[in-house]
Amino acid sequence: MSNKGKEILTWVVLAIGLSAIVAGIYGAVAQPGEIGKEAGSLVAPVTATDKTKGSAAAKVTVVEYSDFECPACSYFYGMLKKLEEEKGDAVRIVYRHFPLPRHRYARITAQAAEAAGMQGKFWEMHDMLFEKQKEWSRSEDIQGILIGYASAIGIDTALFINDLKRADIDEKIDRDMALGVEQKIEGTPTFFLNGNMIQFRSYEELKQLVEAELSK
Amino acid sequence: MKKNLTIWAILALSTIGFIDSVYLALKILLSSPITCSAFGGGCDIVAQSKYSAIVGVPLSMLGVLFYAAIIIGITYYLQRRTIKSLEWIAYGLLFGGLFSIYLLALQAFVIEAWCLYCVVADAIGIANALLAIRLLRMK
Repeated sequence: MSNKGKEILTWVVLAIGLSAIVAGIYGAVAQPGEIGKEAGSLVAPVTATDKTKGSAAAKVTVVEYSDFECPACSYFYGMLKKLEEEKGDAVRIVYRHFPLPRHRYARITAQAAEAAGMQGKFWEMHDMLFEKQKEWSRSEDIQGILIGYASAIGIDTALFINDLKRADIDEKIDRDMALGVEQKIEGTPTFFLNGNMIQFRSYEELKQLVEAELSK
Repeated sequence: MKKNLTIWAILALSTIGFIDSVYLALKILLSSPITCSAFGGGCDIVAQSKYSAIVGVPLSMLGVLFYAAIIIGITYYLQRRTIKSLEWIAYGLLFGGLFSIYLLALQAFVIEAWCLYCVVADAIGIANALLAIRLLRMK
């Protein structure tokens, strides 16, 4: 083969080689959502102390281990909200706290949600926290902001401030975390659909998984 | 002989760097957002930090382009053997090495979290820079 020929061949091989690497890694990384049967079944069933939304008689239950300061949790929050809107009473949603130590406000926002829950507005605070995550996670006055949210959702702020420090709220959060540890979850959010861990990247994927369970 | 060995070493390292950067870039691009790891390991923290992109371009993407450029540059040198092209490569690697040190320092002291894939790419960047210095001293 001529020198020029060899040169061209080298470049072609190089181009193919680099493209093959990219394509190969893409194939490996772009995995669709699936039910991870080996990954784990829920070790702790839903109990009366869990924060739930929706009917206990619902055919489908989604349990989430979550952290209010985790960006991914805020992202998936949008999908759960949509699921709730579309499926209504057919789906029950359960929230369990798993505030990560490295998120400075994860704990206090968990406490805030529970404190709001003492006045019957856990889910309102939960929604507020995820929707406004970018705001409060950068603030230097988290207390002030949380009190503002409490006021916005219509609860007694003096009571709220007091309840933030309640020992039983602390214990509840610790219990949820212990369950998460026992569950060996690797991060937030982690979702369980009717007891089996699921992973999904889009609302469509979540919907498919839920509808599959609903049709059983 | 030593020169060739050094050049092949750079090529090998850069190929690993390329694979590593592609993996990181695709992982970041395809899974969004990255879930927050419950363990110390901080690829999510590092990737979500404000230092993870320059003018909106994720650093991992720049890494892919950089290592691809080195691989292409070396391929060109192996064919044409011009001193100029070798110099370009060497200085490019030196710059890459300095940038890698900067990124490692960011992880260590500012972000205070480590991402394995970034560390691998940075280590290769530094190793390549050392090899580049070797090359420059050889002429």
